[in-house]
Amino acid sequence: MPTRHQGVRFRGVGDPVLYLSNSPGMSQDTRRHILDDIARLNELKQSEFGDPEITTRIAQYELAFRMQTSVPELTDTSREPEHIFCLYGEDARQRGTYASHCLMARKLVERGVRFVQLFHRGWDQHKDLPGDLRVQCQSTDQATAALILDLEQRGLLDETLIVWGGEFGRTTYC
Amino acid sequence: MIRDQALALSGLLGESIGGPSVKPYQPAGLWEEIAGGAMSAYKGATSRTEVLILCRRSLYTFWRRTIHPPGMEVFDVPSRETCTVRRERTNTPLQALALMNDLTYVEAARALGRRLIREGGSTDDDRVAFGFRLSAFGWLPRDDRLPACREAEHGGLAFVRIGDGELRSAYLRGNDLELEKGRPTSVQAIVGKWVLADAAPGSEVSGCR
Repeated sequence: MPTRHQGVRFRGVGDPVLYLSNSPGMSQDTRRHILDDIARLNELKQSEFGDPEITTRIAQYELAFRMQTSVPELTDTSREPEHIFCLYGEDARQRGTYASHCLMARKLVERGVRFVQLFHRGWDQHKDLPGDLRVQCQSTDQATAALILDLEQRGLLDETLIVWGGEFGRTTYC
Repeated sequence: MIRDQALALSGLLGESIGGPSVKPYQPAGLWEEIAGGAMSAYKGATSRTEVLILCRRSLYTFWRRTIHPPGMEVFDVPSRETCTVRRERTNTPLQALALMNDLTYVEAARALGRRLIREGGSTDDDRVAFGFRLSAFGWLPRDDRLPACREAEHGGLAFVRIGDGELRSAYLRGNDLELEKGRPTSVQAIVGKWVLADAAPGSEVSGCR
């Protein structure tokens, strides 16, 4: 697949995307002009070499520009109504939790993002399985169900394929 | 490579060989986010000599095993956990954002702008040719590139000379508020002072530290 379809990995702690804010004094207008100038030079280069990576680069600058406004809005959960947090669980209020990632996944799908991948780590248990697995399941169970329900109630589930998989597991007897 | 190139072009690259590692800019709070995070943070620079130390080649970057230098990470730096025969190459908007807003490049852009104004000659075309030759391995821009370059240069100069006063000095001086929270402001201020003094004669520079 062409590289313009490459994914962007959000960070789980702190800002999801680094370098998002302009330096003080740099307005979005000025930024727009700069990106237009860069695009013109890149297009000249592209017409000379025909390298698809240059086309991708042009597109990624545009995506970066749009992300500067869309990402803060995406990660802001303060406008979500109370019943959403009942659905996903209280964890969803806290950045970096699996529940908050599920909520973010719904918002991404809602905004037309075509592929979303969520990770949950820490399934390599060696002892205390009844205790550890309970914790792991607690932090994934409700939020995962919530994501599916939420997609359904927004009429998005019929066009969304959900794949649930793991690359690690233990039997109940270790 | 990209960082080194930016520093070299802008004249900020420190060329000393050997010696202790340095900690270049990275977004505030990054190390504090991870377990056992807080470490002695960045030391600012207060003189030209210290600027040159902070802006040494990326080879000398201080390295933490669990959290890689973010400016390198977006450009696919290997984790160093195993040997890497072939480095991954991605082409993502994160790289565009880093080039736009990573302080390293903002500062290099300021310093390069200063070079163009000081050393590039008196006409737009001269400066464009000078900038092009610096960044494109000695080539001169071909005629079909000139209009685009000229316009870009013109836009940049217009921003510097007749742009909104407050925004302009904030940008050129590099008085980043974020930086003030325990980050070094002085390299910025030094570079900003040069640029302001050269680009907009008579501008207020006394606010620089």
